Amino acid sequence: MDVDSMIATYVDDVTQLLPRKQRRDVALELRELVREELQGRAAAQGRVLDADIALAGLRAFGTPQDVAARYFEPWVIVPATQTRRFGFAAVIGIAVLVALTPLSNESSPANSLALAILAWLGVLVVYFGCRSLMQRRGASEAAWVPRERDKVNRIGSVLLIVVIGLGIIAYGAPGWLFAQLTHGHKLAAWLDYDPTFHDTRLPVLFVLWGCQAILFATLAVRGRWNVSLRRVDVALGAAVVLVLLWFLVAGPVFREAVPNRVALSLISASILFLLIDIGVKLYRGVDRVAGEVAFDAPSLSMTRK
Amino acid sequence: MAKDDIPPLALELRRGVIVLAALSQLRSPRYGYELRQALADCGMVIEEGTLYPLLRRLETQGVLSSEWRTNEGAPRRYYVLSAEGRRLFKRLTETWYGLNEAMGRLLTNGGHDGR
Repeated sequence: MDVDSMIATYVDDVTQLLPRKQRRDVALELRELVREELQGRAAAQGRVLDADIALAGLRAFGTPQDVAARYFEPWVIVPATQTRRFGFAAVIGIAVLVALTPLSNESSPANSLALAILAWLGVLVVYFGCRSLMQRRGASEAAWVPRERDKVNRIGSVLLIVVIGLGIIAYGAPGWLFAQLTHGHKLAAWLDYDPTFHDTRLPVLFVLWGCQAILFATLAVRGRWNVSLRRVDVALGAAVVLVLLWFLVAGPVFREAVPNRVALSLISASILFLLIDIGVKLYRGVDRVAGEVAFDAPSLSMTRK
Repeated sequence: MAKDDIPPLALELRRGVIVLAALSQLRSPRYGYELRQALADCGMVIEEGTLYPLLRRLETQGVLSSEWRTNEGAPRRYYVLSAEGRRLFKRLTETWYGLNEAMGRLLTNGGHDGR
């Protein structure tokens, strides 16, 4: 390849990575500058500019990716500070999806798993990309506001208790609730629970929900998390996951096949979200309650000496 | 400190003064290659892949203004400090002298004050 073609290729490779409106102008300038640099390099060696000198000079200039990145501030989908979080969320999500595959009712679980993994990674990329874009557009310039990490939203806790109560009514006595809401109409027969599920398995879930309601009531009264309450929260979440897994393998939820299939899919999705929630809580550290950790920190005791 | 750690740290140190070095030579119009030679002649060698994009970025930020000139053969883009660039250059120069003085004090007594 002759020198001119080499320079043209290099400049093309750089400018293709730039925003469209900059390309032509930068290409014109860069081509002349590179040529002059290479001629200067050849002159310094007492030689005529040839392909060998040009190649060495262009490599010294930097890779087109590196040079292009210096011309503008590129949009980074996952910023360096978020890379660990991205990796953690990707690995946890994939692990959960793989773990749930044997419970799937799909005819080709491998294909479904591959699609689910791709969908999960896609969701992560879109989420981190949007977040990065917002920060780039100045959303991160808002002044930092201190927040109390262990403070509980009391209204939120009360609302969760209400939601749990409504859930127990809706799942425990759907026929009664439907009749109340529709002036005495009867719920369709195809939505009848499997008797074994209704009498033996569903009450176990209600017991756990009751325990969670007590936890939220405690939080609403205390107004703050502590290590014990965080541990109870994670333990109850894990217990709910185990019960839902039991629902998946122990037998039908509904008498009819179609609602049963829908229910099992929803239970699988719930397990996925609960496991992610537990993973996030464990990642953040159930033991990290502000005052208690700072007291034990070895670096703190060193600075006091 | 490991010997291998020195070059990257030295590069980091140099990176901080590249803008000021470039601005110092742009009180009169220069084009990229000419500027790089002028800096190199003063002992400040800046990689071409770093300097040329930097000029563009500074122009985008309003620190430099530029124009194409073709009177010496090949078209060349000449850069010069804008009014804002001159103000920035003045501020950065003051900052540099302040830092230089502080570092001089730190390095002269080694940062030790008897403790």
